[in-house]
Amino acid sequence: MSGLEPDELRPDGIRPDELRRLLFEAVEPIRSSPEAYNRIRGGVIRRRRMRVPAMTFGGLALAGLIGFAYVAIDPRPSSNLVEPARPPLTQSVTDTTAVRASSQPAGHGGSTGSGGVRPSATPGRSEPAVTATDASPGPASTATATRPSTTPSNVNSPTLPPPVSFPAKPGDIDGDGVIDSPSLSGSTIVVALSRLGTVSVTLPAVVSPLTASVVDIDANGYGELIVQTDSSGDTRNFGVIRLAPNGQLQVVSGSPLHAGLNGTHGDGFRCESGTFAAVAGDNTVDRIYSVTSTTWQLTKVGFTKVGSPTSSTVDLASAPSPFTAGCGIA
Amino acid sequence: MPARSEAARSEVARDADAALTALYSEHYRSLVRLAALLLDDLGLCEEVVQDAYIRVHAAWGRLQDRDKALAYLRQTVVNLARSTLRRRLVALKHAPKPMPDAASAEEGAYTLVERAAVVQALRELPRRQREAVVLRYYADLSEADAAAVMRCSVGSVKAYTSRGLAALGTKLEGLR
Repeated sequence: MSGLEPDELRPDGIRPDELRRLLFEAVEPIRSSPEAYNRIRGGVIRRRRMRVPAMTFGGLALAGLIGFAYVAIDPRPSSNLVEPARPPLTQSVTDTTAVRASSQPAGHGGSTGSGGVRPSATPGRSEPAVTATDASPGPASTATATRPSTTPSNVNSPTLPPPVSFPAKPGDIDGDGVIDSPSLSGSTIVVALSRLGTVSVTLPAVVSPLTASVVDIDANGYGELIVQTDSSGDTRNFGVIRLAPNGQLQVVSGSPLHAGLNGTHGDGFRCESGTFAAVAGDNTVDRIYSVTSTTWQLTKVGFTKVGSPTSSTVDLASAPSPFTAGCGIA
Repeated sequence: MPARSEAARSEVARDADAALTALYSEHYRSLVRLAALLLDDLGLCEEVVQDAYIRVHAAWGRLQDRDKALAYLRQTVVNLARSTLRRRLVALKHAPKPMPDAASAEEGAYTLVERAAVVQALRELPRRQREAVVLRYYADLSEADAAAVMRCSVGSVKAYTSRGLAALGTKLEGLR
């Protein structure tokens, strides 16, 4: 019992010892229940039994939450799976024609004998930017006859086998990972494709000996053939030839690929990832050039500018010349 | 290693069972009376005290100073009484009752308690003042111990006690 304290002896309050007595008297009738001890023991046993299921349930709930959080926060990117099935070649006019022909009833699509629904590849078909100028009848028809069947899922290139990598390996035109070697016969370029056979295309002019490179400019899995067609002064002009969905070589018109210094003007180009940059510069003073760089992309309609040209100043006395041919051209 | 920990757990369980029995026989009735003074509903006081015993038993292995088991038990009673008052729910209402309800032997006694003027006056006090008064003058705790149970400062206990005594005096005078 604690003693009385002065601050507790208030004139208007109750004396602590009196309060203590009243409290004890008030609760004196209370006796413990005879069942109390059994209830406590029962509660102890019940709590012991519930501990394991409660911990198990809690663990499972926590695991479920972690799993849900993982799925919600880190969704699997679906583009990784879809991306290979969408090579830019699928956008070509030829593709559209081929798909349309395939959807027609049998007999309307121009059967070639080996595949009833495959459309006939008609050279010189109307296309604004992409022109198939020529295809040697003999070798081309051989290549067509031995071409593997089209993969149904590859709707973007109905007649070409799917490429093995994106972009294609340098030197690989038909997308099988094997280097295809071009050769020149007159103004006709002949390429022995490793899986499609020999194909050829005739250009108005080709510089001999052949100056060429195979680079996948548009990163669609099929390499493009860059060929020097002619020169004007010290500037070399290049054309681009690509493999059409029908398995033939097509010259892409309107090539912006020029390289070299000609008087006070210079041109050059270099390949980048899926695009290429063409630079053109004019001499201002001494060896200082005002250079404009334009990014191009090879699309279904041909060469298309990407973004706005950028301008800069290059001093050839101290910086490497941008007026050179890139993309693997020596 | 697992065998040793299992043996240790068994020993703790045996200790807890023995301590539970000892604490029950010595302090159960006084704790029920303490709860009866703290709660508005006297029917809940035994349930609160029983639950406090169950909790102390479950926490027996974590008690650092087992000589203070009574203090821990008393504090658990006060905390549970607070929760009951605050929420007006039966403590651990989710736990099923272990035995069929038997008629409480204390129902008549509770009626007597309800009639006591000091209990009626006590119920009209604010909760903190009531706790301070009961812990100081029924549980006979020092101001420091009462402060520890109430989780407040000694000064607060003094203030609550002083105001509680003053209010009780006025109320009891009015009841007479």
